[in-house]
Amino acid sequence: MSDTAGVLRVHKDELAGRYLTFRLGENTYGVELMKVIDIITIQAITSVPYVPDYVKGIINLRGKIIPVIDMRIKFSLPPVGYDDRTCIIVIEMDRIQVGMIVDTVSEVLTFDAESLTLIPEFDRYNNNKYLSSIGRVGDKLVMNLNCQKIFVEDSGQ
Amino acid sequence: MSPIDPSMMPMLDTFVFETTTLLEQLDDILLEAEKSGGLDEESVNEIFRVMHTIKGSAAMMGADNISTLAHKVEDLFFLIREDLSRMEPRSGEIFDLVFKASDFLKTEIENVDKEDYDPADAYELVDLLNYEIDAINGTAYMEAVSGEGSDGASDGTGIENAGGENTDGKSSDLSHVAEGTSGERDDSEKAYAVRVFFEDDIQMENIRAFMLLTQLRDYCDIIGSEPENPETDSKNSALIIKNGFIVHFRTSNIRSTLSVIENSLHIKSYELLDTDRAEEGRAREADGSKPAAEVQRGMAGKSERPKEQQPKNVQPVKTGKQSFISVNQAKLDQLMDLMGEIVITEAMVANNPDLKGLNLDNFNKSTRELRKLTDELQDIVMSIRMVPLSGVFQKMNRIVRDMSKKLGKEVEFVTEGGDTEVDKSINDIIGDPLMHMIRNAVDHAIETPEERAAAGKPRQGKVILGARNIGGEIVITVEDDGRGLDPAKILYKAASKGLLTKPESEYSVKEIFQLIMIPGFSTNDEVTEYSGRGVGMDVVRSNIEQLSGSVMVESEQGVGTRFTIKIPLTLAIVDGMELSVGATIFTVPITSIRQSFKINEETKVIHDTNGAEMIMLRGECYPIIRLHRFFNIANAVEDLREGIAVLIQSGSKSAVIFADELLGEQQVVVKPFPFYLNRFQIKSYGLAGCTILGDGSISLILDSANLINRF
Repeated sequence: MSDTAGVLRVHKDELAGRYLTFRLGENTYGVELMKVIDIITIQAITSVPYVPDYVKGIINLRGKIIPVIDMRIKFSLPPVGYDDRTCIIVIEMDRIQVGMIVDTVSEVLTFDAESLTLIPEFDRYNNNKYLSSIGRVGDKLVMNLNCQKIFVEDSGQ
Repeated sequence: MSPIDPSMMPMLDTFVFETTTLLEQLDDILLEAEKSGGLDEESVNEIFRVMHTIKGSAAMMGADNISTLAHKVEDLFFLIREDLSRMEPRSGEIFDLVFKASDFLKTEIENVDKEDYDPADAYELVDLLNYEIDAINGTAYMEAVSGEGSDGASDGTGIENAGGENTDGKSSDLSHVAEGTSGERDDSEKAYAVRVFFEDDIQMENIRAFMLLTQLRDYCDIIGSEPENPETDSKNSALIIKNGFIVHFRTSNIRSTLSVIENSLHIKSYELLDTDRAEEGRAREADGSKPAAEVQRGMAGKSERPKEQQPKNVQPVKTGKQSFISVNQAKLDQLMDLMGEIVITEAMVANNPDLKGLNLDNFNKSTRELRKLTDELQDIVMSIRMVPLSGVFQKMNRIVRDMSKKLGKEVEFVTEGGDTEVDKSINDIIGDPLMHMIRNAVDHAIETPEERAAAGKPRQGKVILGARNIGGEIVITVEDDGRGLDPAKILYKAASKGLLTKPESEYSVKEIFQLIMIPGFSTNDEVTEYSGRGVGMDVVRSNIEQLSGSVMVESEQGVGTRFTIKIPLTLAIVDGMELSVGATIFTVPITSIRQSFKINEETKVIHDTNGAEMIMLRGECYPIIRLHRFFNIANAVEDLREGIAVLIQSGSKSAVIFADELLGEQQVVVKPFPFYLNRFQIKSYGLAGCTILGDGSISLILDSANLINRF
């Protein structure tokens, strides 16, 4: 119990933060709003050779070249075609800017400490390595992404 | 733990920059002097000045080892300055010693801004310097140390040099000073006030003023300054710019004090204020009559004061420096990026698809005008980033000198075209490969004088480093008249290391020479201090290729070797040819294209036993790289006769690339791939980066060297 309290303190900022939620199929995911720098509708993507299939290519975001990643493929969900609801959420952390291709962007939610369950450390490195916490709003569950893990630490192999 | 005074940290960059520049100057002077067989008065003064400034600023920064050593060299040259003939008997030793001191200082300066900087001990060099000082004149040494100031006055360097452009006011003022010093030299000190103006836009005037005060403290008693404690408040900078920085001091030797001011960096002008009045004011203050002092300080705040006083007293003494400013390179990089954006945006506007088919005479006229201006702007932005290669060449001078002494070889080193300008980014990278090649030339290529004499060559070997600007390319050559490369030996060595990719008999001489640049090849079995430390010509090549350049070797046994390096003048903006393959657009730099052509029934296309396609052109055979297959692109043209073939070249290798269509030529700005993609190493597959085209779409830039290698 005391351990959990320690973890909660460490993640205080995160808990206080707001999350942008988006959908992939039936699931709702969240990403820290702090990291989001732009949300755009799907646009022409220039494919790049010799990269894994989830890296769809690069886009021109007002003169900046940003790689875009199909989150469905990254999370091993069945791919679907892009339509006018498909969005690219551009996030930034460390030196990395990436665009996440998602089915659709839902809303911004604020989770307080009580409605947020952290993924236990041991589980984060195994079954749920891409998630940092689960948020609850009513009977809905939001899976909050660990962007650091997905885009910075992942070697791409 | 860094010895640098924490309060001085903001000045560290400036300190490192200025000291490095000074040390480079010092090397220049020394090499020049050694060549011409001795120091003249001017260069001795210059060395003295350099050491003096380094000493002062190092002491400021708290880098005691640097300032101690600089102080000693200064002492030595102080003696030499008095009488040049003193140096003669030991000139060789002194030159070596000063070179060593300069090296020591350089190493320290390089490391001073590192986190874990540990100041090295200069005592060994200081002892050697002391020995030389004693050797020159034991008694003179004692004198100089005890009465540095008064000795300085006897030659009156500072003032006399500046005296040329003095007005009447100034000289009378000086004569007054001279009288004062000669008359009251030993018994009493006089009070003076000096107003100093720093160079325009120099920044951190208050800190510089404080540095000046610290420097002066060695030579006189500081009574006070206006503003007081300049370093404590950055607002003082504005005051100093407006009114100048006024120092009140007492000294028995005004000349040496003034020469300190004169020798300080970044001083635009200084003037000696009416000393009587200054003294009066100070005296009154000393008497405790605060109001009077207040009045004077109050006056200092008004802008009329300098105007009023300048004509009455003295004209500012110009120290005759050129007006340069140093700019943070990051800003220049930003400017370059912005320039790139403008080039792209201009193309976006001019070729806007919305305008297709419209008759727009005036619009076209305006876009042409805009194009002209952006071209001009681009030229200027590029030229700002250009630096002459002479700095790099100078370093090589030094290397040849040291090596030939150590190896007992006689080498004449000639540089040509040091004024050739290259982009700063090229200048930063080119040093290492050049150094390696020069070391190779002196260490391996040039024979010993005896060997040379036996071979009927002049005893003195020759190494020529040249640079030229030929049509958008910088051509750098490193040439020696040494023993030359032995093709048989190279081939044997390469074979024994398993570096050959085809039977020995099939290698042409040219190809054999290129072998020395393959990783893992090094012809010299012995490891010497200078070369053969496991890195070789392959590092040179990869460095040059990093700059999109190429290296060629020509050599004749017994006659010499010539390396030719070709580097595109600038890296960020290239003229490219757009090719389409399926939905993807590629940009091929024009410089690597030799020709483009249609493949028809008459073109000879050969399939080798592995099914690889080759094409015969003018008796030569080139592999065909089908871009759509190599990069796995769907919906591309399959039939060779329907697409377009482009012959590309990188160094000595050529290949034909096959694409769907030629879209035309465009100037593009090379952008690196996003950082996230680095982990996939797509660069090694022949893609140099990407660029944004006029319509906002992205094109991939081909890197012919990697493409051909990878294929």
